[in-house]
Amino acid sequence: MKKLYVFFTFFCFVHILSAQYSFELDYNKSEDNQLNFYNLIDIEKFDSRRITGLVYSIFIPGSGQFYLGQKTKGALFAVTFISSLVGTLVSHNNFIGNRERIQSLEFEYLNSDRYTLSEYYWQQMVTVHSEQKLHEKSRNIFIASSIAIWTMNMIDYLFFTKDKGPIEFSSNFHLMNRSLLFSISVPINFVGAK
Amino acid sequence: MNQSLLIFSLLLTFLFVLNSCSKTEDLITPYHYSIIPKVTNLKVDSVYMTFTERQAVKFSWSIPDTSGLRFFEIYRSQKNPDNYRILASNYKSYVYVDSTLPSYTDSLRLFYLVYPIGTKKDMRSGVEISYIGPPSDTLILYVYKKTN
Repeated sequence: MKKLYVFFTFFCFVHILSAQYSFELDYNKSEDNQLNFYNLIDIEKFDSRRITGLVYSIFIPGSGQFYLGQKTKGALFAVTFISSLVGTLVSHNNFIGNRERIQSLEFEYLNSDRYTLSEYYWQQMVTVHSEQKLHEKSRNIFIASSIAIWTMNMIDYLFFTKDKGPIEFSSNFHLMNRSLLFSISVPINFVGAK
Repeated sequence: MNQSLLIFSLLLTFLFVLNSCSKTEDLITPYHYSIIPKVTNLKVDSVYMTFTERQAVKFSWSIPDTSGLRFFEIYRSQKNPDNYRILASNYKSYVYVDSTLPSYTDSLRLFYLVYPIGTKKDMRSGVEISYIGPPSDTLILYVYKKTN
């Protein structure tokens, strides 16, 4: 677990340093050289779409990117986050199940009236306890990966995701393809119908 | 700088979440090993004919610690070690003579087990209750009919 913390911290450090470095480059390039918070996270571009996307991304990683038009990246974040979240829930559920099993075995162990039974319950407790430790470990790994994915998602959303603009309900390109396929168009003159 | 603070605060929040998850609790200390010790040195002393012309097996055992010990229970199985029947209960000596051997033609295989019976405190009521200790190692014995 400690190794995981170290790795995660190191990973974040690298990201922070790279972000700082890229910022410094941008800052040097900028014309006005104004150092303020707005420069840091490019908040000028934080219009209503970006804020909505940010809220989406906070609750469901990847959905913000998806909202801004970065569909592949968004789907990747969402799928990895949801799968690691499912892994966390399953591992935690097993962990709780093991804990309840140990409690019931402990009760049986304390109330057994013969050595053979006590030994049987004790061996069961030892086995379930080792299983519980494994489930705890896997749960922590899944939690750490969920956190890592969420953090990467936030970093990506704040610093590396550009808005592709709103997706139109029916673009011309889409209609053009359709017309190529079917070659049927019916002009309707609403003005003439009056 | 603000960027670093933002990311670090995120990181610290999640490390806190990770740390606050419930952990595996340690098991209770096993106590059943120390209630009554195991019977040791279970061995055959002799096989002899009684006055009534029946074969008898004399065997003995010892126990390292008699505190909490009340009595012994002696079990015997024949042919296979899976049908043990009680020979004696509430037995307080360290030597037993089995003079009730089953009838056989040429040879007989016998298995003996000795259980120490002691007491332990009931966890709920706190009353002393009977506790059957660990079984001894199985004593296996082949008995043959004497041929003149």
